[in-house]
Amino acid sequence: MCRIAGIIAPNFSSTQLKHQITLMCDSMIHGGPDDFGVIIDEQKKVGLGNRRLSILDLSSAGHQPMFNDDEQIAITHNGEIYNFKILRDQLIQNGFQFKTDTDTEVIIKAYQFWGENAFEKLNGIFAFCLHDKIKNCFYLVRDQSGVKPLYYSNSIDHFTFASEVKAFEYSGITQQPNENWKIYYLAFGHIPEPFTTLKNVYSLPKGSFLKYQLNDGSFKIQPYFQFSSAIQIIDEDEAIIRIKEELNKAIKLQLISDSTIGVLFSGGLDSSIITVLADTYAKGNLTSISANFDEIDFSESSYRRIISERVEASHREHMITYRDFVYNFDTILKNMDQPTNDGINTWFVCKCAKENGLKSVLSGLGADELFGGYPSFDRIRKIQNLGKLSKELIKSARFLKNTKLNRLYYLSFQSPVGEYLCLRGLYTPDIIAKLLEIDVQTVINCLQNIPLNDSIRYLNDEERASWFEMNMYMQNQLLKDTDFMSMSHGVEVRVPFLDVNFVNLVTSIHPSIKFGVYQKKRLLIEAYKKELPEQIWNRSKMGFTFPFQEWIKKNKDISSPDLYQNKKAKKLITSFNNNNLHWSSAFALYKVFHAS
Amino acid sequence: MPPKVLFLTLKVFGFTGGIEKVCRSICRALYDLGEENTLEPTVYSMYDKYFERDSRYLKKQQYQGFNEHRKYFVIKSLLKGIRSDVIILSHINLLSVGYLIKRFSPKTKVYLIAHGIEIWRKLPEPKLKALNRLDKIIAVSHFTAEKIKSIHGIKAEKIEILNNCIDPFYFFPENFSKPEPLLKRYGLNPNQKILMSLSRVVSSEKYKGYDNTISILPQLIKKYPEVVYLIAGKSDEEEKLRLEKLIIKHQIADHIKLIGFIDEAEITDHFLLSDIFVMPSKKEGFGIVFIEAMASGLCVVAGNKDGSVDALKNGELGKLVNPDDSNEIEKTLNELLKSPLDHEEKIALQKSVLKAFSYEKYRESIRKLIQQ
Repeated sequence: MCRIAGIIAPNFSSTQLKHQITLMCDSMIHGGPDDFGVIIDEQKKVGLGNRRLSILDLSSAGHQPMFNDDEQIAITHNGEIYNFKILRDQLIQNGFQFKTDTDTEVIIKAYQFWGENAFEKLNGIFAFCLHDKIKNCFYLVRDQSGVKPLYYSNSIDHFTFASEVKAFEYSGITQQPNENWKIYYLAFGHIPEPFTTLKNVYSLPKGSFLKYQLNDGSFKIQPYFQFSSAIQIIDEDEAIIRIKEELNKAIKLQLISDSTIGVLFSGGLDSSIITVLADTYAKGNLTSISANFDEIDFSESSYRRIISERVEASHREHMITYRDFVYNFDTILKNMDQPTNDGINTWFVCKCAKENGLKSVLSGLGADELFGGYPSFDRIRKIQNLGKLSKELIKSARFLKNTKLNRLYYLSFQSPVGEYLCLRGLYTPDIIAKLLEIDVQTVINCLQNIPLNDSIRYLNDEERASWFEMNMYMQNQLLKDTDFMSMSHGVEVRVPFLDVNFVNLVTSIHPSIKFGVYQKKRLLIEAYKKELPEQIWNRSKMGFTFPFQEWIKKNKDISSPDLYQNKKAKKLITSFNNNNLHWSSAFALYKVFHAS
Repeated sequence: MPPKVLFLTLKVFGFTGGIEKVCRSICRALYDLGEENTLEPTVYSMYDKYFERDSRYLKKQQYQGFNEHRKYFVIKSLLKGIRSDVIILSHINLLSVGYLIKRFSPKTKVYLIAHGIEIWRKLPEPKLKALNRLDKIIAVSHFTAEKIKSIHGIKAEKIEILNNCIDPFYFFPENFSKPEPLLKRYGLNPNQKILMSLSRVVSSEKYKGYDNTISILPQLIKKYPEVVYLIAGKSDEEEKLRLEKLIIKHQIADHIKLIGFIDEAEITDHFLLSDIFVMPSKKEGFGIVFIEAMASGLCVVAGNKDGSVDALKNGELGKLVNPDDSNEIEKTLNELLKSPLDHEEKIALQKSVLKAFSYEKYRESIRKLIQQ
């Protein structure tokens, strides 16, 4: 797990390339504190940099960027390839020899052997750049579930890439801000892929590679993997057997590490499943990390105790207080690579993980999206039906006082983006226009023009909700936040529910058995009912929630209306102080007006 | 069945005064005792809004804020009160509600918490009658207890003394060095001697004694040219203007800072920043701020003519001075500035304060009170 960066700039001197890449890497040092490397191809002016967080093969043999034996292929890699030992064995059988015990060397040799077909064989969380000197090209490759980020920027003279958007500021190449970022952020609570806060910096789509031809500077992005959409499992018993089989495999595979490993354990269903299963394979060599609060409503310690008593894993509970929130708030904002309304919770638990000497932790992220754990799964049918009403009638929803009902306005959009924003959006276009003092049509056009994958057109009901949650909420917000917030402490978060084979399996299960009408995540519960006590699976969902509503309200440096000059913002913050606005909407105002 | 306890309050969360602090500690004690099934708590607050509950202190279903709907508060309190075993009134202004509950349900025990000035003045006859009907009056200090006896003629056996406690979520420092960010914020250097007071800075509460401290500051400056006095606390415009004029009059603008409201998260750090907490007040019922300052290892100078005497354990924990005697205050401050507490002494002070006024000790007193 590392941070990577690179610049391809024929007009740069080698020294300049090295200098800028070093600066880019240094700006991400938190994510790779253990080692640093930069290589320059002086002829082609290709520079690759790497800041390493050593997890597999802790020796200097894992130094990156890494070359193949004849130094014709170079790689800078961020992430873990969980099945690298299997691939390594296959490659050895085919005559390859290995110098290190790293997964990075396996990527190089897999590419040498299978070419571009190697990418889909990799099971893990990864983003890498591979420079092939013989073919005179390089590849940027991102994992199938989009867990690891990879951003790129192209212009006539340069091509730049990095693991974090803020690294581009150090590339020596002037970047213009994206004028639309505040619109995106106020509508979504994050910046949707492929966009970023910088005008010409984009996110590489998950399961894709970008191939850049060094002879003419052209590049093409193409998918190398897509999750199956064909329904193959219609029997519940079979589904349960397969779920247990694949999740066990995924967890076993993801426990691979040469340093200590832990699990982020909230006490909810998903993290309890991960904790119990990981504990079986870790044989006592596992630490579970939890956040606890003075705030009674938010404490899940009683649920955690039930599981902790059943497992061998050592349990560490950290109290996170309002004082911690106030004292760390500025640092958290600095660590936020891209504006988001989430991730502060991840920042704190990963800080705890770090304090316990952990470099890798497993998380239950992804189960809600796959198995229907969110309210959107209940609301989607109503939303679909409302969408059939006259657009003019729907537009009148913006006059409603209730902020949730207000969002129905988004159903007047032609694009399915409207449905998502109706389910999960922050502010409606008229409010955004007032906050940014721009024309409302500009806001509407900007939001309607966000590109969406075509596959959404063929999905309905819970599958449609699941698509939105997986491809928009999780992709654009949860995974992005989790990555930069965890890496700000040099902690890697692994997500067994997003294992490529597991996701493929779950998407092939018929929705009628996957989603429960009366019980959320019914199938997952059925699968693990015997392993977990009833108090864990038969409880109301709490989510990974911190007492932000109370903390932000109490902290007048964020919530005092006097801080806001814009009339609408002032009114909204007052409304937040009167408990009529969710903290995430208030936080977005602070971010836009005071921390951007 | 555990006893049903109804705690009636004016404000608990919507304000940050001493009485509200006491109410919050009682809420948490009731919650803790409720969790172990010792009692079944309910808290009603007349002026708080329903959403103002700080969820550190009690559960949502244990609390109701009536948002200034006084009649509704009274009706609900009566209905709930007559079905309760114990009523705790947080303020004398709730006496009539407690009295009515006692009339309708004589077996219900009704206790009143007596804080300070609100009960030190003469009461009209009906109120006095109601006061006498109560099962117990819980005075926060010996001083308040004496006042109740002498002014209202309440018998000693009806009065119980229960000193206030340090907030259950108070942050206890282990390291007593001056916090860098605060030195930077106020433009101070680590060697500067810093005096501090923390109270509401409002025209109606001039008894807090900061005027006296200001008046002796010019003398202190002669000996300690870098000394700075931080007056902390939310202020009203009128008092702020008055203080600013006073500062100009004494020509001490470089030695005094009105730092305003301090966020709860930064209270401990402000105590750490300071060398002496000085508030020779005249009308403290108890003075929680003193025990919290001492819990941060800060030496305290308080008045000897009110409830502060209990907070400083008769001078065992800090210096008690005559609040009207500027010379004595000046002399005491000089002594303290000359021989500041070292690390060990600060730890010892923190330990003594905790032993005397910990939340845990307070919770056990509440337990005994309910179980009597």
